[in-house]
Amino acid sequence: MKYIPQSEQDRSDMLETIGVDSIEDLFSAIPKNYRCPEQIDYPQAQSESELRDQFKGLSDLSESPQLSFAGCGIYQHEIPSIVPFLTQRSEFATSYTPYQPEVSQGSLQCIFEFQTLACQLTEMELSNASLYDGATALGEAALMALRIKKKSKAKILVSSALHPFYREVLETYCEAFLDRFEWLPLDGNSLDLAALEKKIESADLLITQSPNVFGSIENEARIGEIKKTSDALWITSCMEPFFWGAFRGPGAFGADIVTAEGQSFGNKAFLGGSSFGIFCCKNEFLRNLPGRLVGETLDQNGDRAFTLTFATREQFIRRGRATSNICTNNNLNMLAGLIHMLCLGRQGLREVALQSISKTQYLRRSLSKISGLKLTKDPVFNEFCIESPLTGDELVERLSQEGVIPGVSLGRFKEEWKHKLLIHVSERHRLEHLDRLCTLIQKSL
Amino acid sequence: MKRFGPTVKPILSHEEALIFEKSKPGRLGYSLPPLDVPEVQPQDLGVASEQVRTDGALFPEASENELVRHFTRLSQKNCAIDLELYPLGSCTMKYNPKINEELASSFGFGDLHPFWPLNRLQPALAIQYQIQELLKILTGLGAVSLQPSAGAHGEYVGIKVMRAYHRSKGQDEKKTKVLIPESAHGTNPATCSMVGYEIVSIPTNEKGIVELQDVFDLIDDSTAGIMMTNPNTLGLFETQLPQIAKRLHEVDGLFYMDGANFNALLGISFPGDLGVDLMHINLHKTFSTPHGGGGPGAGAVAVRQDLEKFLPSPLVGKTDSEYFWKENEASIGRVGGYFGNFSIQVRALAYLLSIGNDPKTKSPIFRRISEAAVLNANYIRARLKDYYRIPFDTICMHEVLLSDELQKSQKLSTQDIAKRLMDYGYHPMTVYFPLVVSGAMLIEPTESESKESIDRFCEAMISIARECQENPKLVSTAPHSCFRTRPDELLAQKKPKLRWLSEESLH
Repeated sequence: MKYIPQSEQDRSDMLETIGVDSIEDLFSAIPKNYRCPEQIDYPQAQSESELRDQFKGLSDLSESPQLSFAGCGIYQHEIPSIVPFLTQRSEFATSYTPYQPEVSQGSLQCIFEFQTLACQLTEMELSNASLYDGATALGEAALMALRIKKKSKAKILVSSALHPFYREVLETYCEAFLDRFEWLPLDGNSLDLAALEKKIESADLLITQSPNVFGSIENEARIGEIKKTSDALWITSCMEPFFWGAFRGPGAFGADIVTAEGQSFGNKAFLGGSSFGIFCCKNEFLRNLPGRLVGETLDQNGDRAFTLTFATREQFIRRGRATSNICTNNNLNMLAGLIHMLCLGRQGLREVALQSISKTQYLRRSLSKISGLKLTKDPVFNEFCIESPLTGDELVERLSQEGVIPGVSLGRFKEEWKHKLLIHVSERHRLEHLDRLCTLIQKSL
Repeated sequence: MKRFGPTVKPILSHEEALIFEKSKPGRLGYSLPPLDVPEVQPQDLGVASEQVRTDGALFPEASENELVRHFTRLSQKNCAIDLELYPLGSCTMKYNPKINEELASSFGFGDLHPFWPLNRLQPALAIQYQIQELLKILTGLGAVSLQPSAGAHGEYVGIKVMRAYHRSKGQDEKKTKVLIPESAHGTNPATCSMVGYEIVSIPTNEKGIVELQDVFDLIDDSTAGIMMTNPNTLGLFETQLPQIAKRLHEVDGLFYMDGANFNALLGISFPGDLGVDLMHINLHKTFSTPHGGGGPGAGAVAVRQDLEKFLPSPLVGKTDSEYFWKENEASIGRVGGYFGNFSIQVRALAYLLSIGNDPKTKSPIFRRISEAAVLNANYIRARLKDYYRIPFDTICMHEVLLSDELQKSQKLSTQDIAKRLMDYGYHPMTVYFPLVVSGAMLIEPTESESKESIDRFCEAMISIARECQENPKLVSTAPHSCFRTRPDELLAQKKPKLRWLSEESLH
């Protein structure tokens, strides 16, 4: 076996040093009747070329579409070639959590740079080293806010336009508090602000998402004003951080905790994982923050150094009273995100956002000319809903036969949404792609 | 660090400024095709004007080549498995096969979108299905969920399933406690707290395992379950596990096994046979996926067949002609955004398939992996036992526990030994864990190391033991050859600098 280097001779030499006769003696602590049988019904080991064939065979089970407008939380962007090139470097990929700062300055400085960018992006004061993904970041944020508000029993207000998978994760994480949940009504495809105004006074927590599951941009400026009239903590969620290339971060409007899915930066779709979760908050909540945190300090020679810090929040020190049980996070995905963000820089971040806006608007305008389609007029960033006489599922199926995935049928989440199709556009879509989608949708109706 | 003269520094000790400090307006690290539709500005969308942003988030600006150099240089300030043995106990820092990387970046797996129609996602479901089936064999349990993102996330699923099970039997009210050995990973009690369980600590006996009678005394009708790592964090097999499971089942408690140390048990013992009801498996440890400087991992959860209905939806099912998502009616709910860390799952499947039965001998290669891991750990124990205290000097499993007791007379501690090890080119072992042993040093060599590699490591450790006696100052001031030496952790907390701030914003 090429992954096990010991030779026969090594084995017997080592056994002799240990002072036992056989490998079997090393397992004498395990009662004999609980040992596995000699032969186990398991597939035969495969060589490299057999593995390639096998995986090729698996990939052949489905044909890839020529063109996809599926988004709804996972977005394909152009990823600069240096992102995979650098993240695959052994020193990044085959190291572990930087508990020992002297031999982990590389990882630590990367995290410190990421924390800075995350703060700049969201306009918040504090960022952790990232969490698993956007949905768990929201779950952790709710638990953190509930810890801060521990004495209270007031309502947890949540936007009904939250992505249903995020909602499910939130409900799993907050299972003990479900009786306090109240789902805020919508006005069209976005939050009903008048309803929010009425309910905010009795709330502990307010959870919103922008852009929301319909692609609509929420009026965070106004939500922030309403929130200020209460003691509620405001948690925001975002599935597309490129949004902040063109729009202010929630920190500008007084959000207390800002969470986001980081996948758009540097990570391919991979069925939705692995990606990473952005988690930012106000400085005052530092000791309640879940996850790892890197700080700048000086070493014994007075040189600038980076180290994990405020670890007393974490499970390996605080155990049962930790702010979260998280240990392994999705660091390498965060690194991919960091490198992608830095490639883009100030101009690129804005340019990708503008291209998304412009192309989304172009497609929306083109589709609005098709009779039978209903489109709302609410502001959107990189995706929007259409309603057609066909169900979303039917549209997807018809266009999929032409090799095009036109979007995500929201009917997969809720029966009442079954005529809604959510269409995502990014800088990757060219004019001819947009026109082709239009033609195909028109033809299919 | 030895300097080559007053102004010349070896390349690897280059100071690497923060990217923010190197930024210059106008530098570009990307290229995009020109916009081929009419440009629309954010302010034209009908959004409140104060929401529009024009500052590009104040991101720094760098060219592509500067970025490549920045990150390449930073990478060189890390230890890594591909450079040297990385003996971090409980982390299973085994070799990460490169074919796994190749396969994960091939065949369009990265493009698979979670919301494509099912007939476009068959490759992903097939991969998940195969992993589910293979993990069932290796654990001896009946069902597997791949949704959790990491080990602790898997624990969370497991303990939620435990709670859902008791709820389904109408006994959630009285089942309030989970027993956890005091040697457990910190994630175990943290997880139980998140799920709302009271934690009862099981002491460790003089042999380094739990004492049967102690556990029996703690088990009562309020016991929801036990959460035990096996082999435990002292590197020892919990020999009484089957009896404990039996007693626990009498009060209808569930046995959760933390599978962080599963690398010692492949093909040796099936946890299901031992009486384990549910467990997580760190695919990134046992099944060789890269640890990425802290993740991503993947924390599959395997459960007894009758607990399947509680697992997070969806699982993958299979008919004669296709794979499909299977919704669980009694599910604890979704725990992650989509369908688990699929990119990690692809790598783990490649590994699972490469360690199957030997085509010639028909015996499982995965068993040889565990055997080699256990052999390596015991060899280190044998070679180091005259130099370091071994609190439980008996045959260990895949990791060996030392302590700093013999070095205390020189006022040296585990911390010093760990730092000195860096001067020998190694990432230190896990230190001060488990908590039940003062000054613990937990060493896990894995099966990936050759005898020569382990000999070199042992010689470094022996040399340090000598230095502790002969030149304690050399050890207490270590490391001497690293880019940085003992960063001041107190200062980091006293004056928190948790992000870079521009000169202007500081004033």
